[in-house]
Amino acid sequence: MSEKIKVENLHLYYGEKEALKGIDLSVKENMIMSFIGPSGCGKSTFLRCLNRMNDLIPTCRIEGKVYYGGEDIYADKYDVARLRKNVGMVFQKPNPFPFSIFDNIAYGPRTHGIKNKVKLREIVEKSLCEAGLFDEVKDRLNSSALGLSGGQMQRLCIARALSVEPDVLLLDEPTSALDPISTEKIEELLLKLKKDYTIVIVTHNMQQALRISDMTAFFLLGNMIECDDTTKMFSSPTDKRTEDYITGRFG
Amino acid sequence: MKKERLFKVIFATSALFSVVAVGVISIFLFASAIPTIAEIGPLKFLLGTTWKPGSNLYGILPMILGSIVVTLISIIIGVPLGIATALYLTFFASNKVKKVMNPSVELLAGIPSVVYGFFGLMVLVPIMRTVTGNGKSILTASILLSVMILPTIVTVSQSSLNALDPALLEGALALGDSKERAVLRVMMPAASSGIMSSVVLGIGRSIGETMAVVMVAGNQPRIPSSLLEGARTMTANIVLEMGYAADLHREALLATGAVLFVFILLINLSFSLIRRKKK
Amino acid sequence: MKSRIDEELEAIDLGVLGLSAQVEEALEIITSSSSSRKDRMEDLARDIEDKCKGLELSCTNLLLRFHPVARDLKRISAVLNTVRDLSRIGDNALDFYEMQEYLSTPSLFVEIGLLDMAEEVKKMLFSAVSSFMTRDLDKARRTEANDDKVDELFRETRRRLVELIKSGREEAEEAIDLVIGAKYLERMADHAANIAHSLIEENGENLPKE
Repeated sequence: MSEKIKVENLHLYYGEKEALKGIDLSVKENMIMSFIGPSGCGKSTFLRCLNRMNDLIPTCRIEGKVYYGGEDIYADKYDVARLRKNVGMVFQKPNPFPFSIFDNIAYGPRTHGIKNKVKLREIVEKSLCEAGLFDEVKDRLNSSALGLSGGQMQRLCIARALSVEPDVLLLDEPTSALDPISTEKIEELLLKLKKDYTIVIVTHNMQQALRISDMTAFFLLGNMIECDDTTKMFSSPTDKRTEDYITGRFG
Repeated sequence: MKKERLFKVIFATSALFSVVAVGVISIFLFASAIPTIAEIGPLKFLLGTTWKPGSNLYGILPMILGSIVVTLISIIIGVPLGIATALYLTFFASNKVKKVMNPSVELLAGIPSVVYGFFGLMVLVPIMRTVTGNGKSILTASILLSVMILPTIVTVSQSSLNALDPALLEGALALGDSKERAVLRVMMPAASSGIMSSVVLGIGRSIGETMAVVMVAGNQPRIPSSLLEGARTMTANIVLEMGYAADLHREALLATGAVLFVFILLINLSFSLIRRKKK
Repeated sequence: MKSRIDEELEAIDLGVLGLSAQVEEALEIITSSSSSRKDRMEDLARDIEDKCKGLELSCTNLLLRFHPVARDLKRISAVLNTVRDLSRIGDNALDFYEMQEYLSTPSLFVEIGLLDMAEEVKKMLFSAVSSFMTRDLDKARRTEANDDKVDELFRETRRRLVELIKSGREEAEEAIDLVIGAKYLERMADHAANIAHSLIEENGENLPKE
């Protein structure tokens, strides 16, 4: 299995404060990797480095390299729009645009120049099918996305991310705002998507990491302590700090 | 329990106060306007093109058109400018810039109409005279009004843009869109209800503006043939002649006020219909 | 501040201690010659069974509520295995006791070497449980090794039984029951060795680095 993303000695500073202290990580193709760790440990910050979403924060400064497709995404003149097309992101709280379901999904393709109505319709259908939402909304594509339930909204956001044909999906605690049944649907969806995409998911729920991820990385205070096969990490972690966290012995 | 009921009564009464105030004003206006219009003749009043109280001619069409055109042009200039400013301040301005611009905009809102009027008279009118040949015209008034409504549009739009979930913008950016395009394609539509409110307020201020307009619009009570000619608005009409009007003349001016009131009602109504349709 | 799961694990440990004390008592009964304790045996066996069920329930409840991982999961697995082994030892002790009751020639018990075996089993159980509770890996390994000693005693007992049958003495009829009794003891030793082994499994390899 080839390497999809490779991070080398990544440091991140908010002004003077160092939030990520030299992270090395490798994400292989077609697997699900989860990031776990206590609040404030840097896992979400690190996730956002992978599609340069931290660029939006003015005081943020990055050192180190992040390789995607063989290129360092932090190099000068790197095409960030193209990066974000290839590395999609789904957020913790579902954030559909206040448009129709159709326009939500069509937004990405339209951004990248697709105007043809037939093609757009095709893409919208395909993305909704991939996200397992099509059957539920096929009769109301023109109704507002805000009328969907929380779980449906999140699947819509996943479909929206898929509409631009990425090969990596980053998800920041995608089910923490959802009920258990919606959570299960989304976990099943991610397991299905794994075949065609590479998935990185930040989660607070260790049971979730156990259920769906192949590899898990444990973060603490801006460091990555351990990254290993999920089953191995949760049954015999290498570092005591990891064990203390996963057994709930943290303060 | 008693305290709760007491507060309920106080709040309800306060709310009722606004309703009562509007009611009283409406009744007062229409009570005198309707018989007056009936006496003059509705068509002669509303569509008559000559306003000569001395000759018993009370056609206010020139003033109606004057108000509409002046307001319209001030909106055409002021709304895009105001929205663009609001977008800039909400999404692109650094904190340093905001520290300077926000108070400036708010200060603009606080300047009294007469002062605007003076500014218009002393500065704008001469410039317009040099550039277009005529200093006191519809265009001059519109430009001045657009500056006056700017703070309203900027602050109300800005507050509804600020109230938006930043995650919406992040969502658009995560799809590969640029910030500028995402702001226009997502954030502005998302705040459309608030922005429309700001426009309604702007229109309201513009159509109701009296002092500043009187000083720069020319005030000729006839239908102008170009934007560079002077005109009289309904508000100017009232303020210019109220001082010495008597009998029917005075009643006619009151009736003009009623017409203005109806305009404002219609504007508010149409906007709330538009907003309801959007939902 | 102790975490909730630590408190529950401690309570379960105490339960295991209590259970093992009762199993040891059962072994005492079958190795003692005093008849007064004999009436206790049936009540004791029932107690042991109830306690085992209770402990198994506590363990599965802990699994349900806490979803333990890493060392907690290993500990609960080890405890479940140990409880089951102790339960089997209790069953075997009861069966042995019943065989003893049928024995018309109690002296054979000593002659055939069953007493020696039983004493050894008692020692093994004591050592296994104590190593399990104190997490003493060396002791656990020694206990496991002791199984060989019991196997040797079993072979000796078997040899003596063959002699007895060949001798044609009247008591030779009891040889069948005595063989079964020896088998029970051997089984008990296996279970005690399992308890020691559970501890080694739980802790042996891949301990997290500090």
